Amino acid sequence: MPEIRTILSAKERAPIDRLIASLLVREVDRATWIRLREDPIPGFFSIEDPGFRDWIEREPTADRIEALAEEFARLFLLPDGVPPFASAWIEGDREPLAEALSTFIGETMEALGVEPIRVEPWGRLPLDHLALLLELVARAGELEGSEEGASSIQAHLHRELLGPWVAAFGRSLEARATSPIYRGLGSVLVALHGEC
Amino acid sequence: MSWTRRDFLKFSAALSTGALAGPLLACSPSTVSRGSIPESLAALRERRLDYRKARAVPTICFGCTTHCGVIGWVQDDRVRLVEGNPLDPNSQGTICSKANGMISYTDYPERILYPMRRVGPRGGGRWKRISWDQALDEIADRMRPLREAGTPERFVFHYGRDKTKGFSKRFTDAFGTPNRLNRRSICSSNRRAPLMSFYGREFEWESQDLERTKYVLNFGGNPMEAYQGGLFMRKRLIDAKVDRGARIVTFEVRPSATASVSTEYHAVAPASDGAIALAMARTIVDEGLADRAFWERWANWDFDEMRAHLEPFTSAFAEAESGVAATDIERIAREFARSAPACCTMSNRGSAKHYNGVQADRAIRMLDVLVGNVGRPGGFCLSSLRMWKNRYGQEGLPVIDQPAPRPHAPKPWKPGTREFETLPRDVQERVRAFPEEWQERYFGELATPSEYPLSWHWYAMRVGQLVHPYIQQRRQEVDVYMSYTLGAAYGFPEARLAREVLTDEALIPFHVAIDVSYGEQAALADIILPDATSLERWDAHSTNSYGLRPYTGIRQPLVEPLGEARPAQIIWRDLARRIGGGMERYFDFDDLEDYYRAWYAELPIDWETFKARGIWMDEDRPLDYELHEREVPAAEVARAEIDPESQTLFVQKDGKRHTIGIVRDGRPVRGFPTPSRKIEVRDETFPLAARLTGLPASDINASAVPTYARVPEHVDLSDDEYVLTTFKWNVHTQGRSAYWKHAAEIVHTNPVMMAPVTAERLGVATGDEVELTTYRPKGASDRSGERDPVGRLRNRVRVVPGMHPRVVACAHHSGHWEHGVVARGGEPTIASARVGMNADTSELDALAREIWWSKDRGGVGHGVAINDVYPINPAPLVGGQNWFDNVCRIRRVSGQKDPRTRA
Ligand code: SF4
Repeated sequence: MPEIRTILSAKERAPIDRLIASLLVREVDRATWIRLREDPIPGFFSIEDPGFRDWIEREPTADRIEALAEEFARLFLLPDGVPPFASAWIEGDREPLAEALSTFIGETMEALGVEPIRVEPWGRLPLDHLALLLELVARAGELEGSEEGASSIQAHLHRELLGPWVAAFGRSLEARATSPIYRGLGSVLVALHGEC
Repeated sequence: MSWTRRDFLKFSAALSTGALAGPLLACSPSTVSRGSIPESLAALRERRLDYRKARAVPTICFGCTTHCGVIGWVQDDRVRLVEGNPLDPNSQGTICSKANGMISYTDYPERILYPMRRVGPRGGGRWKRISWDQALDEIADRMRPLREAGTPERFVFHYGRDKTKGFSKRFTDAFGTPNRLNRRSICSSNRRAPLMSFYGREFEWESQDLERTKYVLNFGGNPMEAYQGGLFMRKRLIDAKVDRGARIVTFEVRPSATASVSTEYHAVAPASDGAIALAMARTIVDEGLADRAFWERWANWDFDEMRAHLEPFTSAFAEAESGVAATDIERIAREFARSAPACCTMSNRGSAKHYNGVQADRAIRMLDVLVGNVGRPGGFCLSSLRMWKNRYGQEGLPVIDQPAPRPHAPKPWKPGTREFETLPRDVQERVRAFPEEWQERYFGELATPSEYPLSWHWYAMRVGQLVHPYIQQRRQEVDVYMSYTLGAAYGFPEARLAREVLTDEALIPFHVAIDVSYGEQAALADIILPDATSLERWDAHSTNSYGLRPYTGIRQPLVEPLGEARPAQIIWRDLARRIGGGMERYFDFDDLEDYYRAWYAELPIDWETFKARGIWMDEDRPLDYELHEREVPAAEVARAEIDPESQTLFVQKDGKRHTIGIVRDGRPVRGFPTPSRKIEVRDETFPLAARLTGLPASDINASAVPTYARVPEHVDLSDDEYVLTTFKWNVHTQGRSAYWKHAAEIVHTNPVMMAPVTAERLGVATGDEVELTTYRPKGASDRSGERDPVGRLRNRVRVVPGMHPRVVACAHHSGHWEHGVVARGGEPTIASARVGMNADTSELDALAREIWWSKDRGGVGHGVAINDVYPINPAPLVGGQNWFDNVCRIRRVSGQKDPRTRA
């Protein structure tokens, strides 16, 4: 996957960030599976994995949906997965780091005038959950052009919150996921938010 | 295939019109002021707590069962720091290192945040998330038919750490099951039973007046490491020693942290505490140092009979049994008695978790009665313990109790009931022979095992380690098993047996685990429900007070539960509502805070003030000295009758006699809350229980009076046999904290400790590997006498001067194989291989990279799980696990040194 970060502006990347965020907080149900078949999504995931299109074209049977749900749980919800939390990946003493992340993210949300939505199935996401960070970056990206300095905010958030770890997370996901969708998520994350 | 910028743009545009990605953030009312986006993470790491921004919220710590009042500092929806609450009269504002572990377990990346349902076979390690509705509906659909069919006992609730102060009982009572099981026998029942036998049900824990004591005689009590209430004792003990020159004498098999701060430490032979205590009693009596007046006024055993009973327990005998010099035993006895009443005994698992431990603790308790220090300044005091319901010692306190309506408790399984008819014939016969008073408390073999009647005679202590074998033997059919914060699959003796039963769907068709983390128990569930942590929930709190003035506290949420975790009370409420059938009427509240506000309605301060202080105490209330000498109010005396023989005051209620006091020197006083209103040093309950369960009268546990005999398997220890003892690390809370990184960084392993002379005999040194083989106990214990080894384990040696040469010691809460990467020291899970997962993320995952003690990184690793090789070994009658009796043989395996000892 080419480095999308260098190809698209922050604003242009925002919808992709959102797509990934949604796949990180919610299992792929039948409706989502069918949406994922709509062009140009299969083409996008096929950049890295040409088998994606055939895979997603299969019938979303209950067994397949369940297998994906199981993989989601194994990767993102249970111990020994690929924890989607910044504090699990950024180098440093975990507690001060996790606290600093909370402050950073809390203050950033306040500054951008947003707050997390709490609904099933994700409830109160830890503030350093990758999905929230991607959403935050997308928000900042969307301000680009409409507000002066937004692009620098986006770059700042990227540098502080995503750059230090998302590539490692993405590579781990690529290595440990078994389904094309989650392997693909890994590759996309590397391409979108690889090291600065 | 390669994409151009144009392709990406098209892709992005297509996505922005689609509805695949829902928002995760909402616009908040706050004003956009982008200038305040922080400069850098690095700078923030330096300013961890901003007191201008942080909120201080008092609560009750749940790092362990001591329950100290603490203050949590909350900033940005995170608890940043936990400090002591100076208003807590027990902890006096101090905390231990585990308190901040609560932050570790609230905010850690491997916590279970969602209800999970297993996929594939139980224990296969494959799960999917389900919604709360799905989870609760499925559980309710399993439970409802049991209640409707009139067989609620087929729902078994088994808890480890339930501090909801009866809320879970509300649920099990409303459902109708008596099978509300616990783990007290694993922990403390052998030391609670003697205390309750002596002083009455109200006193399963004592409150020594350490602030004024001059002499502490400690038999294996270990408040510096692990002891319910240990932290309350620590500062007081150190102050007593340092500021007031008090002597602390400790008898222990290993140089524990408590031994190390004692004035004197004697390394004793395991399970010889009773011999020492009785020899001391004999010295005190022989040398005229006893407070005979106190004994005759308050003990229920004739002084001269007692003197005659002590005759064989000479200090020479005790020396032969314990290894402590007779001259020291006599000297210490004298010093102790001469310090009276400002002296007290202390004991806990070290003396009690043995075949002869109940009697050892009775002998130790007798010392206090002999010197008359009970309830006196500096002495062995008793302070109000449980929630306040106007019980003994709680007179004049506001009533603090669960709001009405409360469900009735299940009815006992008396002969003639349906439940009784389901029991095996031999059990029926045994129960039929029980006195009526016991039959009133009998609820089947899981809750009230008939072979261990003293595990439920005073108090529902149960015999937790027999629950799984009994289910395997089908002594109780189970349809739904709910474990709550329980670690039986890892931490019970012969834990592999618990795992076998938990895995067998024919024995346990449905297992629901409620817990904060994914441990070995949850791994064997069908559904896991994520519990809120102690920083996210409400609980009522009361315990015995070492300040000798009753107080109460409130645990309150500092932050909202993460993910979809929910407080257990809400889980049970919602389950009750789904099960229905009238059960729901006991859970008619929407907001837990309202529920607890009603619980504390009688407090003389308003709710907001209580929350702001976290603690309430009547500062003007007199200290709990000599509760037994307090006069019974005239109004009560007027309603009571006097038994001419015993001089007890009693009232008739429901056709039964309830004693409320005793006449002493013509004065109606409270006495002790025992049937005789005296201290029951002699208790016929023991021989009665022995007779009714077939325990030979010659067995030490059948004795009505405190006595001593060597543990059966220690009688003929051969030269190559050792006693494997275990202990709890002071920075951990048993097996529950291995995944708290905060605690794991300090202690993460559990070498086999042995004395230099033992190591020399075995030809090993620190770092060498040894293999331990354990055997079943002898005497009247479960499966005693079976010859096959129970198990083997390999572990590294650490040579520790000061250990008793016959003892090897190994902490019992290391070596996890679940609970996440921290607990496992970076080792892969068993299930990860099963689900085809590549467990090696060490190069990628910072969490794994931080495990500097992992073997991969040249560290010592995460220790060895040892509980599988401990035989299930309940003490006769009381059922407490005899953790410290195990006989083992030791073989040197290799001389490879521990990595940390390499040159
Ligand atoms: S002793 Fe430590 S862990 Fe236990 S309740 Fe007190 S502060 Fe918390």
